[in-house]
Amino acid sequence: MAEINCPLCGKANPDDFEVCQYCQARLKPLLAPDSAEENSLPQDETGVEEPTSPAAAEIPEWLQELRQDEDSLELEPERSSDELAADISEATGDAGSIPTGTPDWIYEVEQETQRDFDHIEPPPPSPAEPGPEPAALPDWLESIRLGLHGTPGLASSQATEPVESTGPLAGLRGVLAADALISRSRGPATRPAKLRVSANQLVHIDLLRELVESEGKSQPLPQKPSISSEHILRWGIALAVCLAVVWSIIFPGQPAALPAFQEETAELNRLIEQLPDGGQVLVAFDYEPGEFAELDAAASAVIDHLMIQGAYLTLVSTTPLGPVLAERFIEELQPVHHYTAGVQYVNLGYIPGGTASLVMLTGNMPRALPYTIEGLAAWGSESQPVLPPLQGIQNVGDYDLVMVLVDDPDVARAWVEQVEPFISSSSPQGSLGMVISAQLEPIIRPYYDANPRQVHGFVAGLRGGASYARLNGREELVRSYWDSFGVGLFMAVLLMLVAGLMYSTYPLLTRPSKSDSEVKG
Amino acid sequence: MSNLDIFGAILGFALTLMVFSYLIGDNPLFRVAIHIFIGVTAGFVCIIVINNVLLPRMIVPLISGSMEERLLAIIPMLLGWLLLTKISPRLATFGNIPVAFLVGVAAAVAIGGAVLGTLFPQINATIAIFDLTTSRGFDTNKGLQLVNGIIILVGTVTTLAYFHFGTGPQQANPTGLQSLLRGFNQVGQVFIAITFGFLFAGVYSAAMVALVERLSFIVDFLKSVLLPLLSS
Repeated sequence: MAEINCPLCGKANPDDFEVCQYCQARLKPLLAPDSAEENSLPQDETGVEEPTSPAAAEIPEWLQELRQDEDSLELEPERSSDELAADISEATGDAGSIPTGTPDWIYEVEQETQRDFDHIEPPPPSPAEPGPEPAALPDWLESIRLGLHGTPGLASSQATEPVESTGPLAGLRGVLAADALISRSRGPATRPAKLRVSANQLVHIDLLRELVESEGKSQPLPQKPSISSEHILRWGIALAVCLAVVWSIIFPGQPAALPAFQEETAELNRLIEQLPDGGQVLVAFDYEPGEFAELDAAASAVIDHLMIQGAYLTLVSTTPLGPVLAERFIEELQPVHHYTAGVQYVNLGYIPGGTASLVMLTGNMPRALPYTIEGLAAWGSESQPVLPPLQGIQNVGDYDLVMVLVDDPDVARAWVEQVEPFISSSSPQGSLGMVISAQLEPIIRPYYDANPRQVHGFVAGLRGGASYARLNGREELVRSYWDSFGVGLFMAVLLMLVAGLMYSTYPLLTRPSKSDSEVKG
Repeated sequence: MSNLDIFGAILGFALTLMVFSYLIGDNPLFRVAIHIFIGVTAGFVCIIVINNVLLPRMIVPLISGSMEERLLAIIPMLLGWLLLTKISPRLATFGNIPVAFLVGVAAAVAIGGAVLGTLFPQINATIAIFDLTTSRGFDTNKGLQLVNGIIILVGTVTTLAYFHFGTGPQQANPTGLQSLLRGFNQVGQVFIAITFGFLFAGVYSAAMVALVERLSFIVDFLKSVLLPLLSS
C-alpha cells in the first residue's frame, strides 16, 4: 500500500487515511485543487480570476439582465481624452459660456483677473545671471533614460491603457480598476473543518481542562489526626495542674505561710486605719464577672477592714454588671458585719458614659447619680432625708477615701487620670486606693512610685489580698484559695522547668554521635 | 439550702463542665455555654440600661419633672433618636451629629487626662528620682535610690529607642549614631522582655485563681451531692 507522510509530524501513513494516525493532523486538504475548475475560472479585464459560483444557474433572470447591461457598459470601446473633453464641453455648453453651476459674479471676477494677468509680461532673462546649465549625463545613464521614455513599446502600451469613464478620475488613462477588485465580493476561503492538534497540544488541553474544572470543586481539607501530640500535651498539662489543685482542696495539708509585708499594701492599710469614725468611702466595682474570683479574694480583706472601721460605703460602677457584683460582694460579707442598704452603704448603680463619665463625679454627684439601684432618691426628697452614706457629699473630693476594684488597665488609668487630680487638689486627706488584678501591677505601680503619689496604696491580686489579710489577722478570708493557689503555681513552675530542660536537652540527645558520623562518613 | 440554690448550683456545675470541655477542642457543649453567657449578659445589660439610665434619667424627668428637667431631658432624647437613624443608610447622615458629639467629648477627656494625669506626672517622677534630698519608703539609702533612678532612666530611654523605626542603606560599617541606636535597641529589648514576662506572670496568676475558685466549687458541689448519697 502506498504511504503518505504527515505534513506536521512527518511520519508515514497509509495514503487512504484522512488524518495522521499519530498527531491527528489532516493529511489531505479538504478542498483539493481541481485543474478543470481552475481552468474554467473567468478572468476579468484586470486579469484577476473570478471564481465561478456554484449557484450561478440559480440566478434569477432580472439579475442576469442587470449583469448583462453592466457587462455591456464595461465592454464599451475606450475613448480618447479628446473625445471625453468634447463630451464635457457638450455637457457644459460652449467653451466661452459660463460653466454650469458657477454664479455669474464669480465668473466675471475670474475673467477680469485673467485679463489682468494677461497684461503682465514675463521679465526677460537677465544676461548677467544665466540659468543653470543642464548637466551632462553619462552615456550609460542616457541610454537607460532612452530605454525608459523612448521605447516605442511603452508609448503603445500607454495608448492601450483604458481611460476612466466615470467618477472623479474620469478622463484619466491608466487608472487601476479598483471597482473590479473591491466591489466584487469573493466568498470566504474554505478552511479545513478539523483542527490540527498535536499530541502535545492534546496533553496541554487536558491539563487546562482539569485545572479549570478543579477551580469549581471544593477541595477536601487534609484529614487531621483526631488525637495529635498537641492534644496529648495540652491534656497532660491540664491534668497535672488540675489534679494538684484538687488534691490540695480535698486533702489540705500544712497551711502555707501568707506573703510577707508589702509596702503598697501596708500603705493602703494605713489609709484605712486613719479613717475617721463614720468616714465616707466611695468604692467602685469596675471589673467583669470573669475576674470576680481574683478580685473578690483580693478585696475581701480590704472591704472587711473598711467595715470593721465602720465606714459608710457608696458603691458605684462604670460597667453595667458592676452593681450586681457589688451587691453580691456585700452579701457575702453580710453575715459578719450586718451592713444594711441605705444605712451603712448605698449602691448608686451604673454610671453611664464609660470612663468619660468619671468627670461627672468631680462635678455634681447628686445630678450624675440621683437614684440608688433600688430606684430610691439617694440624695433625699421631700419625704425622705439624704441617706447617711451620702450626707455632706457633693462630689468625689468630699470622700475620705476612694477605693477602686478594677481589672482593666484602661479603666484603672482613667480613674487615676480623671479623678485623682481632683481628689488631691480638693482635700488634703483624700486618697485613691486600688485593688487590682495581678496582671495590672506593672501598669499601676509607676503611679504609686511617682512623687507625689497618684495612687496612694494598692493591693494586687490574691498575693496582695493575702498580705493585707495577714496585716489585719484575718487570714481565713483568703486561706481557702491561698494554699491551692500556691500548689498551682508550684506545678506551673515545675512544668516550665521540665519543658525547658527537655527543650534544651532534646537536640543534644538526638544529635548523632561522633562515632556514628565517622562510620557514615 | 433552697431549691433555687440547688438549681443554681447544678446549673453552675453543668456550665463549668461545658466550658472545661474546651480541653478536648472546640465542641458544641462549649459553644452552647458561651452563647448562653453572651445572651444572658446582653439581656442583663439591656435591663440595667433601661432601669438605671433610660427610666430615671429621661422618662421620669419628661413625665414628672420640672420645666428645666424636661428641657434637659429633651436633648439626650433628641440625640438618641438621631443616633437611631444610623440604622437607615438613607438617614445615616443625621446620626453623625450625636456620634461627633460622643467622639469629641471622649477624645477631649481622654487626651486631657493622659497628658495631665499620666504624661507630665510620670516624666516628673522619672526626673525626681535623682533628687536625693527626697527619700522614698523602700530605698531610703541614697545609693540605692540613685541606682534605682539610673535603671528607670536607662529602661525608659532604651525602650523608647527600641521603638525608633528608621530605614536606610545597610552599611557594612555603620556610623557611630547607628551603632549607638542599635545598642539602645538591644538593651530596650531586654527591658521589654522583662515587662512582658511580668505581665504574663500576672495573667497566669489571675487565671490560676479563677481555676482554683472553679475547682473548689466543683469539689464542694460534689461533696454536697455525693456525701448525702453515700451516707444514705
